[in-house]
Amino acid sequence: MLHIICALKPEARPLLDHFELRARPGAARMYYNPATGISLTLSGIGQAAAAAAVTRTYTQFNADKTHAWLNLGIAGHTDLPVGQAVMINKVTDARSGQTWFPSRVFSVPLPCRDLITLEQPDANYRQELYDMECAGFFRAMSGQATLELVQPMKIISDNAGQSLATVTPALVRRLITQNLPVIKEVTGQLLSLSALLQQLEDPGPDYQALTRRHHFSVSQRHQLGALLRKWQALHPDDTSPTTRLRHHQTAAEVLRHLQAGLEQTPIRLG
Amino acid sequence: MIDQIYIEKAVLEHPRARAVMGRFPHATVTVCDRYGEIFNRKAQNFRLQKRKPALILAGKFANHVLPSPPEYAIGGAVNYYFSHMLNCIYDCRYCFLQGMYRSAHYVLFVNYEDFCQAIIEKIQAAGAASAHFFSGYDCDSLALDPVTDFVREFLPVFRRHPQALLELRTRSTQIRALLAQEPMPNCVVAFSFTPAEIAAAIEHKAPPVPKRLQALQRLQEHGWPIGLRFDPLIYQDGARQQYERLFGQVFDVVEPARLHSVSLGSFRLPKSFYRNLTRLYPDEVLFASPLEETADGMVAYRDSIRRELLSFCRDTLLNYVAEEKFFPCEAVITSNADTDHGVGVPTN
Ligand code: SF4
Repeated sequence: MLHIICALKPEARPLLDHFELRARPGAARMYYNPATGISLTLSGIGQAAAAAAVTRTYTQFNADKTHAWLNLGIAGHTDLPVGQAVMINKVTDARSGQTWFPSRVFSVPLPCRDLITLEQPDANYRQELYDMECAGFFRAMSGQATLELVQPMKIISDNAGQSLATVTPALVRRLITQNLPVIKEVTGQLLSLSALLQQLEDPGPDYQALTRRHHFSVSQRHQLGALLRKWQALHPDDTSPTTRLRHHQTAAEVLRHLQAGLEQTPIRLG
Repeated sequence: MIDQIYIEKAVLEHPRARAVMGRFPHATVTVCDRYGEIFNRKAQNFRLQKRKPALILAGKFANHVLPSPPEYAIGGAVNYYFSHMLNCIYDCRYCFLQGMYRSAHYVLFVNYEDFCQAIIEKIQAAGAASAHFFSGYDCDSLALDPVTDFVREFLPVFRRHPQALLELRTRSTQIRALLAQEPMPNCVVAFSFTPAEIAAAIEHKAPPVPKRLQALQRLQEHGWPIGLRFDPLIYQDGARQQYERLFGQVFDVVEPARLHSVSLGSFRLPKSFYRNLTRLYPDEVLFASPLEETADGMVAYRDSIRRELLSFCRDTLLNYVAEEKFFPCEAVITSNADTDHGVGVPTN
């Protein structure tokens, strides 16, 4: 799953349309497409709002460390052209000085810069991008998600030559829309990382079927998970060990059978 | 190859840091206070980071040289190891670094001068006793040498102190810096091997066995003393024949006169590292092998398999190697005083 956090409706609008996100019943300012596993939450402006949006989304989707997160929005910079999409290497909270270093494990053909999150808009443009949410997003994410699955992405909306006063909702919508190809690329990468982690965590359909059929204690469940994973590693083409374990009456018998089967399997690393 | 460099503020102007950055002119450079801010963070995923590791340039300010476990000795009276680098460009599935570190980023400690000074102090403290220094515990000694200049910077220390010995442990073929120097009797280039079938399956990105053998041969012809490390021994169906064939290939190339030492050790990992590894690679056949916990908190092959493979390899090797050059090492892990996560298991 991928959760996008945007501050403003004009930032979100092109994404809601493109990803076919629909309002999630009972969850204000939250949108979702179950077919793609993408959600979007509108946070409002500021760090506190961004942090609250992360927490709400986390709870709403019962998120775990396999879920990916993207903070997408506009930002200012001294000389990057308006409309330029940028990935972020370092986020600093201007108020506290606290820093975060997003960990990106995929390549995108975009410039990468540092970003400072300010309390208020500021006309003193600098070498770092500035926004008003990203530090709040990262503070709320700390410890909640796998680092490589948490990314900020910013679109330049104003610079020293084109001030904040020129930024209108229509301009923001246009800037996001013209960057949809690269946004799609980033969201695609994050979704595929999320899918990989989900696959690694998933004990598989056999685990579910067997634990439904027999009573496994907590430690037996761990054992079963470990044995089934080994079984899958050694027998990647065996789609259904469950069927052959049908005639076993108890959890202990199932575990013994799997263990014995593993012992008889030759180890072939290649 | 490196898109992202993190650099500690304290080493921004260090000439080696500048030289290394000069090699990656297109990399994005991000300044940090201490490398631990990036390297030791919680909730990192080693497997994902391995897709695109960053380089972290840092300074090491204490514990440059540490005692190494006596079990890994190759004849020295006192034994030390030092790590100018953490992590490796290769991706051997059995590598304990994946279980030990939270991050797959490469950390390069650029203040070599402090390492060299610490080595000299240990050599002087050892007096007449032979002091051995191992460099391949937390990285491959040579794999990134064209970037790090490790060989060019550290070997002069040992040239000036011939009573001490340096072991470079490697799976790489990065030997240009060694070929550019006069060989030194007190610097052993120790190559690690597993049979070609096993290397191809689980030593991802490392040079294949024949390439390592070519590198070994060139160094040997140049006059460098050679070490052979069959550690870890990896078990699979047909392992005996594969190791027998490997030993034959290796000793077809190795000249007995140039051979410094041969060592042997079984695959083993601290239990916590093993747990981390199986979480990262639940789909890995290696971890579905007949492994079991040992009394001392390790995970190793079942006793019968371990003993059988060790004794077969030992007996076979002793057909090629004189006993005084043979150093079988059994599994022993000691805690590393340097960090809260280090162990004394050699990686290479
Ligand atoms: S075992 Fe050695 S060569 Fe292989 S990945 Fe680890 S450090 Fe690198």
